[in-house]
Amino acid sequence: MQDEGERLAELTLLGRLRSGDRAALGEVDRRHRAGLLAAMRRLGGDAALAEDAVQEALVALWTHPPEDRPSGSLRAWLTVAARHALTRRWHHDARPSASVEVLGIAAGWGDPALGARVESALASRQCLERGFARLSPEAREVLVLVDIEEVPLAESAAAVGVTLAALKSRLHRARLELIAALTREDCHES
Amino acid sequence: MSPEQERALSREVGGLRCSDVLELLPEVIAGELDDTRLVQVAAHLAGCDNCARFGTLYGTAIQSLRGLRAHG
Repeated sequence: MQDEGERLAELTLLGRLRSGDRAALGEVDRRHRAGLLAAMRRLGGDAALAEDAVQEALVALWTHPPEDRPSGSLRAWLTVAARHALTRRWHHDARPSASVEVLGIAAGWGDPALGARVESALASRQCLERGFARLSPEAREVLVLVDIEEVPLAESAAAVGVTLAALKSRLHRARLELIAALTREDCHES
Repeated sequence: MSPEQERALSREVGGLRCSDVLELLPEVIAGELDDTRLVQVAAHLAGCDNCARFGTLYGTAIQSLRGLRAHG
């Protein structure tokens, strides 16, 4: 429950956001990001998805700050916005993200025969392109930016609209997903 | 993941489990690890064929992706 002093401070902050004051957004970020991340992790159980959802909520606050006095606190408004973002991502992903360990096993960790198969696929541009084409748009996006075009990580994170930590996590998963896709290719060097 | 695979990933060599090394691969490749961690990873890779092989494969995959740029 907010007291009147906090309520007034938030209304002032909202006024500054509406007038395009970036420092106000930084203040909201400092005050609420950690708490929001913890809440989204509890809801989603995945650090990368939680990061993305909180980032999206903060961007929504910056681009479309509530016009009217929100009925609850600013934290409540952000929690609802992040929750919506998380739900959209769940639906988009259609399934929860596999752990890095599970992806590593799928990519042939501990299985020399699968490793040899991937090696052959990597040596063939056609096979590599085929495996790449089977990845999700999100995985392809991050591989194109960072590994193919060599856009610096911070710039790639800004382009995708996620934090640096979320981008790194997404990149690692995308590489593992690509290697896993290549374990299903039957290729000879070309 | 089978119980055998889970056990294999929990194996500790050089003060790190295989699952830790799997998580750290991007930092290893990017040269972002501090010296202490780097020594641990090097010790692990020297004593673990599975991680050494997979680390090489992971690096080769990145190199191959970079190669796609030249082909447009």
